[in-house]
Amino acid sequence: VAVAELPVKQWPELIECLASNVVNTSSTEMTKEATLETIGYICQEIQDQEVLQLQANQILTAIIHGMRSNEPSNHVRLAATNALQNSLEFTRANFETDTERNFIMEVVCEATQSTDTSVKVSALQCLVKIMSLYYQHMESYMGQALFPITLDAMKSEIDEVALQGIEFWSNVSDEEMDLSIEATEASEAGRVPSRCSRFYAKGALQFLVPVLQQKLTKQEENDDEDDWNPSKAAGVCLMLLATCCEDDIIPHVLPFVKDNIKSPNWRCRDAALMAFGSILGGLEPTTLKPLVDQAMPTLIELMYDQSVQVRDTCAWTFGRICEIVPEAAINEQYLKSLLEALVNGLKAEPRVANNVCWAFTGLAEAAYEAAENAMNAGKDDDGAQPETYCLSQYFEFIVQRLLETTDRPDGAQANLRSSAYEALMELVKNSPRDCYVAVQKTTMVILERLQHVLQMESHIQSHSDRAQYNDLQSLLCGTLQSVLRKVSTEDAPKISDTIMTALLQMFNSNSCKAGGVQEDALMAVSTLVEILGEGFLKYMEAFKPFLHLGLKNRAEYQVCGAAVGLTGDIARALRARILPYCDEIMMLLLENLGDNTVHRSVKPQILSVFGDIALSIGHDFGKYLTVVLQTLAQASQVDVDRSDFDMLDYLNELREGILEAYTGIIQGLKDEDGNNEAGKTCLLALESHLPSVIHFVSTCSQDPDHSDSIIHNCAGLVGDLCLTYGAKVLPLVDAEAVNEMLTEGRRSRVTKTKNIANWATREVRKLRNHATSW
Amino acid sequence: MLSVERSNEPTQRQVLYKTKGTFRSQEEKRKHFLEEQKRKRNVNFDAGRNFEEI
Repeated sequence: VAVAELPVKQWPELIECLASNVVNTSSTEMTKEATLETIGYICQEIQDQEVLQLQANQILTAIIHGMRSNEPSNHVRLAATNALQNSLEFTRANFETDTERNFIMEVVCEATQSTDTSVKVSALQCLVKIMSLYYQHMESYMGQALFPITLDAMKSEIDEVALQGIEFWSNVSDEEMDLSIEATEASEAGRVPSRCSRFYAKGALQFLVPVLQQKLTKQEENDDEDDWNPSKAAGVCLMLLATCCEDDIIPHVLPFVKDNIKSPNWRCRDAALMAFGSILGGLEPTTLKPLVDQAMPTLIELMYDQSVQVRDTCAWTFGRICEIVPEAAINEQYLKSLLEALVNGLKAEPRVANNVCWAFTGLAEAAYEAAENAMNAGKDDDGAQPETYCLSQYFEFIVQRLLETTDRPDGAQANLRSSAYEALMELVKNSPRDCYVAVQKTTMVILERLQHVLQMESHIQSHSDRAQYNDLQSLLCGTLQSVLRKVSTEDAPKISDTIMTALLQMFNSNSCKAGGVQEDALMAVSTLVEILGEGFLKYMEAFKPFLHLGLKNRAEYQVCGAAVGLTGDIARALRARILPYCDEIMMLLLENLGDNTVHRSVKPQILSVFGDIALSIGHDFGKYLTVVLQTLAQASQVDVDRSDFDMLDYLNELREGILEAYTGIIQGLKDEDGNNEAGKTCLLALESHLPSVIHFVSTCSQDPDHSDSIIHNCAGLVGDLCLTYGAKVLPLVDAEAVNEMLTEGRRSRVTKTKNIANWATREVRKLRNHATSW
Repeated sequence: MLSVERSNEPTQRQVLYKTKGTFRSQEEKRKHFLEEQKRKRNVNFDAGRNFEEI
């Protein structure tokens, strides 16, 4: 009731009444406890902090009264401490005042010493939250109180207490990483950061790390993935400390790793591996590489350890290595034995095999990148496919083993089936030319599986069957995309009928009622469109109803978005041949734009697709021109709440969409030989809109929050306008705002933006020179 | 009794335990899909522009 009434200024006497309940000496224990719980819920549920801020003093007085060490009832103390946690956000004013803050901190610290575990845990939780909210005020408490209290908590044999102690330092690391980013940003911008790190984590490392390592050795024998215990929390805390303190953590961790990695006790071996794997992400590349090189033989050996926990952590560590220091993983000296160990791991327990799949993912990326780098040494990256790479001779064998893994009867455990398919996708995606035969074979296997799966639908009996069946279809669609991207343009038409038949069958089946499957199937069609180009035309009649269904799926915006994106792909691939389908598509797209129930993320994409369609059908776009230009003008007026980063991103996306639409329209209407009357009429119709188009370009480029892509698109559009309209457009483009935009583009760090801005500048200059030469 | 939810429950860290960073979520797949389309769109637009002089 309070949550409903307080925000609308009703029941004004409530908080005063509750507060007096707590401080009144005649109140019973139960009244106090219930009152404090009520205060806790009110604080938790009322989102608008301003509602409670005015009464923060009364609330805090009641809470602190209930938390005092001389409060005889632990029930009351616990309710008060819980309520404090919920009130911390809106008691900022009290934390800003030294005396009040000192008092609150004293009471909270006292409560952490309670013999009642619940009170102790709740008070520690308060400290964790206070540290996040009021980091800048914690200096005078850290050495005297917070450090000893939390270190002591970390050492506790009571899991709940130890977890809070560890969480405190994970939180400090998180906070100090944010502060470090803020400091870098401030220094780059030449200003003083508003908040500074006190480097508490770095200072406390020598005391924290031994306790964390001790906790690492307290693993559960039969680990459940969903359990959370001090051993796991310690691993995460070490990882965060390493990211925060970087190389400074090495001297505290390495001795433990060396002393325990070959211990006869599996808990110690596992803890050593966990410590090693956890710190990798924080270290400097120069420190990291020799460290991993040195560890490789021992790590490979541990992949054959008798303990499943050790093998699991070892496989995870290889995953980390492949991701963080891939050059160490593809080191020729160890590659063969590493691959043997990993392939062997694919047959292990699902949790181990799952980590091995992840390692293969990283390994494939690393090997491909190394081959690309070698090929492009001294040249600009031209995106060409390398001839070979260090995994070539093992490629087919690994692919086979991964395919077998996807078929394991226990594949549903530990996400193994998905992981194996993901690894397969990455392996295929990152394959050089000399692995093409194996890619072809894999394509056929995936196709066969897809057909087989589609026949299984009638056997589905339960929800769980359905979920697994849908997941499998999504995974096969994903894998199909990665194999198709590798298929040569000559081979593509040979298999496209089979693929399209399977995909159409999938669209027709019940599984496409699940958004995820429908989205993945649309993306798979998109890949087919990409490789077939105009050859996709023969499937258009059969596919059209499903494209329309996707565009109409407003309830699942991801599906709608995929269908919109695919529409753009089809337009680009079919070019003028999309014309017979345009009326219906344009109607659906315009309906979606005008529909408030369509998720906003879809709308910028729709605008871009207008550009794709216009570019493909040229002057035939004329019949949509009036309505599309109106829509673009409307969309150009949108502004957003500048304090909301998501909305700023959205604004940039929307503006990019508008600029892309204008670009497509203008390029589409531009008539190469100048003889097309319909094109000329459209261009004339567009002419009256040009001042507002240029005004929009200026608005976008002068917006302090614009992205580089905005400049890229603005510059492209200005260049296109010069090419299309010639001298007519000069008075509009030869303006200060446009010049500033082009200057910014020429100075961009992104080569493409720089090139396009140079080109547009040249086009403007040509017009200017031509005008002055008269 | 109602349970009081806490925003700083350590279980929030659970997602970080033995994190496997590169596995693509549906959201990442979608992002990749859109990026690819943007790239192809730009290639299409650039086809109408003569960069040779640069």
